[in-house]
Amino acid sequence: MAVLPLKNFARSGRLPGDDGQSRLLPGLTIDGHLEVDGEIYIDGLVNGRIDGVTVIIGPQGTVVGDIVAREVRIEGTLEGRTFAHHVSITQTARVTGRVFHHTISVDKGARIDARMPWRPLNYFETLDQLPETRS
Amino acid sequence: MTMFTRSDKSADEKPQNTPEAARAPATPQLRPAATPPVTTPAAAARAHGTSVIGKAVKITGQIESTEDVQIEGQVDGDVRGQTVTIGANARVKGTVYGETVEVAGTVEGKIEARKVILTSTGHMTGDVIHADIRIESGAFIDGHLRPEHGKDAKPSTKSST
Repeated sequence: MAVLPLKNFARSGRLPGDDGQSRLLPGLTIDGHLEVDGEIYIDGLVNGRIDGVTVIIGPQGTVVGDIVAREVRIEGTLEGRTFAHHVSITQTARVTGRVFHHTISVDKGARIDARMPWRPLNYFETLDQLPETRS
Repeated sequence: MTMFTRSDKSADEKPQNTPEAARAPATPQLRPAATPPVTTPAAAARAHGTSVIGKAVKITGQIESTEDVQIEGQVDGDVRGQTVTIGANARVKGTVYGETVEVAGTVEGKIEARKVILTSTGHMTGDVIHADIRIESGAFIDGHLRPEHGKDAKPSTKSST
C-alpha cells in the first residue's frame, strides 16, 4: 500500500524484513483487543482496544473504543479515546470522545465533539492501565 | 466553509441561468457538494479486497469479514471470511469459517469451510468440516475430517453455492 504517508515513522525495530503492513478493509469487523507492534491501517470496523505504534483510521474506517499508540491519524470515525504522542485529524474525520495528546493537528472540515487534553510525554509511558474517564 | 459558499452560490445562480430546469436539478446538484467524497457506499463497495492481519499483530477477539482475510499474525478467537488464508507463521486459536480456507500456519480449534486446503507447512489441531479438501504432503493434522459442510441443517449461514 503506497497510500500511507507515514512510511518513515520509526518502527519498534524488530521484525526484520517485515513487509508487515496490516490493513483492515471495508467489510471487516473486529471485536476485541488488537496489539500491533508496528503500523495498522483500519478501513473496517473495530470494536475494542487497539495498542499500536502507528494507527491510521482510513476514511471508511470506524473505531469504537480506545487507541493507545505513538502516532494516530484519524481520517475516519473514532468514538472513544485516543492516547498518543501525536494525533492528526484530517478533514474527513469524525471524532467523539477524548483525545489525549502531546502534539496535535486538526484539519479544517473535521467534525469533532471531543475533549482534547494535553499531556506531558511521560504520561504516555504509564498507560498499561488506562484511566477511567468514560463519560 | 468552502462547501457552504459553493452550494449557496449554485443555489442562487442556477435559477437565473436556466429558469425552467432550475427546479429539478437544484436538489441533486447540492448533494454532491455536501457529501464528503470518500465515504459513499459506492466507494466502499469498490474498495474491497483482502484485509491483512500482519505478523506484528495479535488479536484477542472475533474477526468477521464479508471479504477475504489473510492472517499472518496471532488470533485468539474466531475468524469468518470468504477466502481465509492462514499464513505460514500465523497462529489461530478458534474456529475458522469461510468459503475457502487455506492453512499454511497453525490452527488450533476447528475449520468449517466448503473448500479446505492444508499446505505443506500447515498444522491443524481439531476437526475439519468441509465439502472439498486438499492436504499436501508435509501437512500435520490431528482431528476428524468430516465432509459435512452444507449438508445437515446447520445454523451456519453459508449455503453450498
